[in-house]
Parts: sequence; C-alpha cells; structure tokens
Amino acid sequence: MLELINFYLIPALVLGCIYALGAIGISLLYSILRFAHFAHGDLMTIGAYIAFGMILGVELIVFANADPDVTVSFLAKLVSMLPFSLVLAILAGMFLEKRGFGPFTYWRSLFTIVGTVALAFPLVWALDLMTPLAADEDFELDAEFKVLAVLPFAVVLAVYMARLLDRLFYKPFRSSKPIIMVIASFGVALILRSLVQMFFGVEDESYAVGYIARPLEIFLPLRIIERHLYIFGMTVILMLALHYLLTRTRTGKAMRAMSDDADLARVTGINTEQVVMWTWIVGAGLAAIAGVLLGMDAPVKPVMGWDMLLPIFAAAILGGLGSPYGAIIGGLVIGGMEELSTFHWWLSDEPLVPGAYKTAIAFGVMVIMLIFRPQGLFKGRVL
Amino acid sequence: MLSATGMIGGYGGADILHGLDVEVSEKEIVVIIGSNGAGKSTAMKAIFGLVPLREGRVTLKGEDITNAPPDELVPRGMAYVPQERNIFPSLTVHENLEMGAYIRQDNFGPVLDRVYDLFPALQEKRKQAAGELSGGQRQMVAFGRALMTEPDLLLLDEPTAGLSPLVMGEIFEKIIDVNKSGVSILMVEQNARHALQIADRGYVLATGQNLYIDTGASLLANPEVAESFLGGKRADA
Repeated sequence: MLELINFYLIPALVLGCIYALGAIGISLLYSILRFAHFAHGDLMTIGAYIAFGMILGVELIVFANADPDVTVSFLAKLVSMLPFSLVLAILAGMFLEKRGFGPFTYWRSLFTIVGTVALAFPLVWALDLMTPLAADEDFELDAEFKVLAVLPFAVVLAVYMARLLDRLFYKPFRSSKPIIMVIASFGVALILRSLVQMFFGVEDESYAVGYIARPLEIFLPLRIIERHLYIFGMTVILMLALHYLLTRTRTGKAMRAMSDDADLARVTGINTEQVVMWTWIVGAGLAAIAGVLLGMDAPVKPVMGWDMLLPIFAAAILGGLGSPYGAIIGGLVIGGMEELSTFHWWLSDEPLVPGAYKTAIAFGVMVIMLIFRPQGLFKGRVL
Repeated sequence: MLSATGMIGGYGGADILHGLDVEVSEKEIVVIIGSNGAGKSTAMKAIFGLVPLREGRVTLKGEDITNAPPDELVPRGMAYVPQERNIFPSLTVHENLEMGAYIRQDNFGPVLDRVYDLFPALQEKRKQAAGELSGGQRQMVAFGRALMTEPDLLLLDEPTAGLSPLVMGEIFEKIIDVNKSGVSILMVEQNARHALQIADRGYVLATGQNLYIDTGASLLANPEVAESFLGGKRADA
C-alpha cells in the first residue's frame, strides 16, 4: 500500500498538476480564440529553457568568479544578465504605461532595448558583490531555490514571447477559418522547438546536475520529495488565483463572456483584443510554469513540451474544452490514470500496463470521450 | 440623434439594403416593420457597424459613424440588443449586467440599481446563470445589459420574438418606461400592430427600401399598410 502511495500516487498527482496547468491554457485559448493551440507544449518547453538559461547565467557569474582559475569576460557576464534585465525593463515599461503591454511601437521597443542593456550593468555588479559568498566552500545554492528564484522571470519572458507570437502568427488570421490558426500554431511549435535546439542543443539538461533529492520524511512512512511539495503548492495557489481571476475580476468575467459568445462580447463594447491579450498572459504564463515545474521533476529537453501535448489535449477534452475547471480535473485524471496504470495492483509482479504504453491511456481516453461525450465531463464546446 | 441616409450594403457583396433612410430624433420611439427578408434586421446591423455599408452615410449626434465598429459606437452612447444570442448564458444575471458596463471606468452601482428597479425579477435571480432563465427573463437581461452604459440611443432587434403575449406586453411597457427616462429607441418588430401603437414614427420596409414613413398612428390607420403588414383590414385600429 505504501509502495502505491509513495511511488505511484504522489508522482501521479505531480504529473496531474503539470497536465492541469497546461490544459487550462489549451481550454481557454480554444474557447476564446476558437482554435486548438498546437504550440502550447512548446511554450512549456520555452518556459523551462528560459529558466535553465537564467540559472546558467547566474552560476556563470557567481561561481566562476569565485574560482581564481576561471575568468569570465565582462561581456559574457553582461549577456548572461540580459534576460533578467529584459524582464525588469518590461515591468518598468508596464508600470510607466499604465495600460500594460501596448502594441509594439518603435518607441516602446527602443525603450525596452535601451532599458534592458542599461539594467544589465547594475545586475552584473550586484552579482559580483556576491562573489565573496560563493568563495566560501560551504556555500551552495539549493537546486529548488534556484529554480523558484528564476521562475517569475521565466514566466514574464514566456508571456512576452507568446504575445509576440500572437502578434506575428495568429493575429493576422484572427478572422480566418480555425484550421488556418491550427496549422499556424503547428508551424509555431516547430519554430519554438528549433529555437531551443539552436541555443541549447539537443542533449538532456537538468536544473540540478549532480544533485540528489532526498525525500522528506515528515509523516513517516510517507515519503515525499521536497520539489513535489513545491509543485503541489504552486499548482494549488495558481488554481485559486485563476478562480479569483475568472469570477471576481472584470477581465476574467470578460474572458468568460467572450468564451460564451464572442460576437455578443463585441456588440456589448468589450475590447476583445484586450481579452485576447489576457488569455495569452494566463495561458502562456501557466504553460511556462508547467514547463519549469516539469523541468524540476524530469530532464529539460527540447521535446519535453511536445511530448506533453497529447495528454494535455486529452485532459482539456475530458474536462470539456472551454471549461478551465474541467481542465484541472481532466489533468489530474489523465495524470493519475497514466501513472497508476503502471502499478501491479497485486495482480502479478508485472505492471498492469507496461510503462512504455502509458501515453496510450491518454490517447484512449481522448478517443473515447470524442466518440461518446465530445462536450466533455463539464459541458464544454464540441471540438 | 441618428440619421442614416441612402444606405446600400449587405453581406459579402450581395446588397440587401437598397438606399434606405432611417432617422431617429431625440427621445423618439421609432419602429421598423416589414415582411420577412425586407432588410429590417440588416438595417439595424448596418447602423451598428455589423454589416458593411457600400454607400450611404450614418451620423450620430451630427458625427459621422458610417461603418464604425461597435466598440467605437458603445462609448458614443449607442447600445444594441441582438435578436437572438443576446445574453452570456454561463454568466450569472449580475455578471451579464456587469459586462454591459465593461466600458465604464466609473462606479456603475447607481445604474445597476436602476436596472434592477426596472426589472425586479432580475434582482431575485441575480446569482443564477442567465442561460437557465425563461425567454422573457433572458430578454430582460439583454435589455438591462444594454442599459448599463446609459445609452442615448437603444437599438432593439425584435425584442418580443418568441415571447408569450403576456410577457410581450410587459416588455413593451418596459420599452415605454426606458423611453420616458430619455432614451431614444429604434426597434425592429414582427409584432407590428403592437409596436406601432407605442411608436412615435414608423418605417415600413420592402426589399431594402422605404415603402412608407409616417407617424405610428397614421401607419396604423393606413388601409394599405394594414392589409399588407398588419394582418388584414382593421380600420378601427
């Protein structure tokens, strides 16, 4: 029984949380923009790799500086701090422009570029100041801490990236048939994956090389790994935040209104482009977080998001496309079914379903749902 | 208030309107009637920027609004209630009304109270999903939603379609109430006789053109109109 909980149920919940975070985005984008976003998995990958790149950047400065045998040129340090300063520049730009992200005008772009470079200098300086800390041999940054520290930066960059992608590849097709958008998103997925491979290579990477996670034994004999607690905690907080957004805020209600009836939303005077923008912010933000959380638990590799696409769609369809709450349940169910199917269930010593086939479970659920209940468990839209 | 002259246009190249004029003065109720396919709803949509006009000119309070999209017209004091699919079914009644006030940056509490005063039935059901309401109540939600911006001109596309005579009478009463509070109303109605009774002026449309333009009472008294559009002769009306 303990074996079931420690080695199957907890990982199942972790996987379910990650699926749920991805499926919410798929579901929202489908109901508001009316297309199946095939590049959603690769947005997860992008999020995971942005975080990875940032961790490399920080380590480059702090640790290489501490080692007298290694010298890092100032230019290299500056470049490694650019993503951080880009986020700060974007946030400053948003603060100055009360209306949030505006269209990409010349002046705004210039402001962002100049601000980014200017902000990178103090960041390098600040990190250099930390060098004495790193010189201390006992000093070690906790792997989880590093990931959680760069997570907000990765989310902002991924959201901005999604906004840029929307502007370049989806907005021109907004009034075309949905299939055009689907194909466009397929192209975007390939572009994103190639970008990752170009900058980071095709090897498996990890946020914590040579770091062994020891399970916490809080409630013996239950064993839970620290990072899994972060993943649960983060998912629960995000779900509550999403619920608050959708039911309590003007923007969230407008998102639901537009998902109900986009034409009526337009007639009512709702700024639909603004709603679309917020849909991308929520969808891409959650995807980036899902990617980073997945990266904490599994190797960071260029196909990590693409491999997630099928179960995420299965989760969104199971819950009912357009129903974010359904997507959460769907994610947990699909994740649970995939992991628990590999347990032996005391029938024999063998797993019930061999591990290599567990993806087929998601596929099976999706096919069965599409045949018998295409609107999903929670009355979504029919695909 | 509103002046539309020589409207020519329609969907995807096929003209439905062939030089139509519509005028609404301050605080008037204007009714557009006509047989099916005469272009009544299309005229309404063209004024609200939902159907492109190839020719013609639409002005609101003297400003040119020809082919302006709805999100520009709503802030200028126009509101539109479509014939069907005019509520957000999964949102609560209260949220539907809030969405009506989406463009408002100020506190719309007093307006909300007034809408609830006008439709007490909605107050009771404010937490219920709008999609679960009866036809008449849905119509009230749609009507209330459009009033949330405190428009000067309200466009109603067949507000009583598919409603029982009792509910229909209620809706017409509300239209008069709203009009008395200073809102000009332009509406398309199938229920021509009833609509003309409350109308200051009426337009009778045929094949996308004006057939008759007159006061509501004169149109009711006009035997030709009575025969073709009011379902038979009734000189006593």
